Amino acid sequence: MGILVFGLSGCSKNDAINENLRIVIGSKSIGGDTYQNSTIIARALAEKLGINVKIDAIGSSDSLKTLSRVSDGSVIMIFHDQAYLGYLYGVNGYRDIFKDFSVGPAIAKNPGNAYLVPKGSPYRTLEDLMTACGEGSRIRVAIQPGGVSEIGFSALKNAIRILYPGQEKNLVAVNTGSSSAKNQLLFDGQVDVIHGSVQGNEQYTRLPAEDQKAMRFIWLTARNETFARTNPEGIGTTTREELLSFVEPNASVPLEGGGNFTFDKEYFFIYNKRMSPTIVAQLDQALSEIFEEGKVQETQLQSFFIPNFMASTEAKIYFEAKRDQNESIIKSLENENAAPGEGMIDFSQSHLFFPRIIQGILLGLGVLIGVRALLSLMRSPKTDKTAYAFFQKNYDKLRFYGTLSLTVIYFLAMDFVGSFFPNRGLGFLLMSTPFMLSLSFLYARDLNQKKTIEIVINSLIMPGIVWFLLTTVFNVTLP
Amino acid sequence: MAVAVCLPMTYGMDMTLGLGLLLGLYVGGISGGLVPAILLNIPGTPASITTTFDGYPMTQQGRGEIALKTSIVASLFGGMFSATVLYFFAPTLADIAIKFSYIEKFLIILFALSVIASLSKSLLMGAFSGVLGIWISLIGAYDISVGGNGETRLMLPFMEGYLENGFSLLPVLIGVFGLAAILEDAEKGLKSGLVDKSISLAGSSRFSIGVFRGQIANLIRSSGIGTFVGMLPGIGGSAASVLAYTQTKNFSKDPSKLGQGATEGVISSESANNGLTGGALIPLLSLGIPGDSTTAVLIAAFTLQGIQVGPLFIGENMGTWHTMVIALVIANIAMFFVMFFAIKHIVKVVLVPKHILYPIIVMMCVVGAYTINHGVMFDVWTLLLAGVFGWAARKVGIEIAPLIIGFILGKSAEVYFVKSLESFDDPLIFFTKSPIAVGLWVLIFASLVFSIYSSAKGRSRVK
Repeated sequence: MGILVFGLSGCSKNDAINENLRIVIGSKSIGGDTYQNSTIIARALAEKLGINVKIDAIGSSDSLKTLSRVSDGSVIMIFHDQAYLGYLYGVNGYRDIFKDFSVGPAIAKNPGNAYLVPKGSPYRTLEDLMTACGEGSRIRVAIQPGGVSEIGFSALKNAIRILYPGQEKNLVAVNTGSSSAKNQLLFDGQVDVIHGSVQGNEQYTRLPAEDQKAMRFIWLTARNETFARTNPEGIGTTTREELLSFVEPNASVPLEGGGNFTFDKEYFFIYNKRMSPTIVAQLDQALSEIFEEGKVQETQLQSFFIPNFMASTEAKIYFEAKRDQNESIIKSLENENAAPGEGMIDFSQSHLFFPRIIQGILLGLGVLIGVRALLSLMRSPKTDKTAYAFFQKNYDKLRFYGTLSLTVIYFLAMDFVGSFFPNRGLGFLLMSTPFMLSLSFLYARDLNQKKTIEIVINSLIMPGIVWFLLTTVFNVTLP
Repeated sequence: MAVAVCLPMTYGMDMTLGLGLLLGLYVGGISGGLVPAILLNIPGTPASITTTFDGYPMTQQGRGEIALKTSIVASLFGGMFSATVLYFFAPTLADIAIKFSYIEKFLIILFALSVIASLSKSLLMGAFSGVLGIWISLIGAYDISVGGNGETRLMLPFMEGYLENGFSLLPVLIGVFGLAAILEDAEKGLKSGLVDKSISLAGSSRFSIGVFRGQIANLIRSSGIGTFVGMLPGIGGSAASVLAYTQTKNFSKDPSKLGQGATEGVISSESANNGLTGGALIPLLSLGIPGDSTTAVLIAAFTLQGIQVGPLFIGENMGTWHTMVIALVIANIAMFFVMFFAIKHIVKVVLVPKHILYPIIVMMCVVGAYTINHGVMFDVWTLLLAGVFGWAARKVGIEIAPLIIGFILGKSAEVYFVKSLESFDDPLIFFTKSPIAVGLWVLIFASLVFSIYSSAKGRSRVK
């Protein structure tokens, strides 16, 4: 009966925004721009709608999986252009968001997408870089493959293909991960250019040229009209005017058929395709009002984001067109990308390189252990068969298998019950008490009234305390 | 996780208060890991794994209070040591840190893996366990966020939906240590309490500062190792504590006592892992590069307050810089007082009957596993899988500590190794890159020779 009451009171209506809204984001980093941007919007939404909103940085693959399972609007997603670029680049775990999901409203742009060289580099402009490639010099660019980091590289490579056909092979990607990894490659002289950001790298551009860490911007991919909306003070001590000298048309990357490539990193919502249109409209309305009020823009600008609200319908058309433009750039380089890379490790097979080495070592060690064990057995064979038994003699079957069974049932039940009360942690709360009761009674010896009371009190109170602290005080997601 | 959970709270706070909160959580989180490591043999953080080697045996001997108080004092020393180094030498050390490329970092990891095998009962089995741990860590996609190609490996096609991201560290860690121990005890029938005798507060079971006699060199060396490893992004606390612990064993007057309840073991482990805190702030505040995943969250705190981190941070934010160092010092002192004087209550956990304690442990393990990646149910199942695996592994002689260290360091080892080869296209570069690389090879070689020699000596003594 208690569960029914809970259910009735906590059940989400499928045509209204859930009072406990969970926003999953495509990044796993809590220090990153996606999390920051999402937090700004989440706080504004929570205040506007009078609901509880939490952000979970679970990454793109888990976010899309979670989103595809939940259609009642209790879970929505925020990500940026990586959401469709990852799919275009064929990265595992990415899906066609325009086909399998719904694109929601856009909320901001990050104009900070940048490419940098060492301060002492002979390449002072993009033209220098493209000319050097055209003349046969090999230019190495550190990027993170499969998304926002790579699209600028792809556009540059495409531009070299247009200007110096056949020489685009001289612009090579060095696939790496985080900003610090890219910076390190530049410090070590292992690459000539890195993908970075204005926010993360501006201070390096102010170091003296003799400093090993000193860098210089060579290209900011944002559109000129986007960058013109940033704070005039710019960032650090580099003004907006100074930064605009690295923005199109001052730094041009030509496109096939004319015009120049630009790329604003943009953040938008993604929904489950079956989510009620009423909820979509409610979110659009709420965000529209938030942006009309003007407060959220101040916070965004302070963090070097450009406020940019577009309602769902408009955003869908816009991002589909953006996807198409980037797709044509990626497709024009398909032959180049499909060719096996130079060097001892083929990037397309690099996921197997280290595992094979480890498997070889494991096999070798396993053989050595096996031979040693065999020799030991031959020297002094054990006549007592119980020496080889896996389980201890007279092991406690009830407690052992009981523990395993109860744990499995607990996990299954928690997830199942939790699905009826999304984002409230009630699956954990309701199933932890019977689990703890069962396990305690299973383990207790010489049960008496005192022990029974202790077990019951512990099983009732402990889950409640944990649930209250985590869900209410710290706003942590529980099953 | 505490830092990540409390980050949103700092948005409305003054910068000083917000930083103080996050640094306090950082220090508290690292230090707090010693409590379950010592009392329950469950490391609270990966950096506390080596604390279990001597801390838990001390608890079983009725010396849990000594272990806890010794660890807390050692943590305080490590934290203050690294805060001092941070304040006076941050910019200089940051310039040294960038001299460690992927090659040198790979060699440090190789060094840590070579020494962990030497801590095992059987060198061969220790090495096998470590490599097995690396192999398990590689299950999943070669993530694009580390420069991989996003392709999955080491799994059957039907597993891709579940194992795409591989196994997360925390569920594996608490499963292999926590849940496995509960299964083992359930198999035996839970016939005894957590300790063989009651904790005695009198006589030899009482803590006295005399335990630190002759341990100054250990404290300084271990804190130094922790600080140094902390300032190299991407190595991690477990490597720091492992390296410090093995050096302690090498320099110990009686190495055979380590692993049996030696106070110098917990001193080494805890001073090293708290030494990490200041060390990890060096690259963050001098280069804008987080030293570990927790300091990465601090970048968000800065950015939300409109403060840019980078090589000019200290010079342009002297007030914030001093605030951070003072906050770090205060956090260490507060940690000491809060923990030290609460020990006499905390230590009574071992008196709680298992039929009450174990269900609580399982419930908290579930919470930890589920929340570490912000709500992924697969991590809870990983906890159970790791628990069963840990229980079974001990039966076939697999050494858990090297396995876990291999698991922790495996992915980083792959990235550093493969990316080094991709950059230089020459395997000999691992030997010729820099004097630092040569020095590391000398240490690796010496460590292996010493391990083989010690193992052979031990076997001939047994004969």
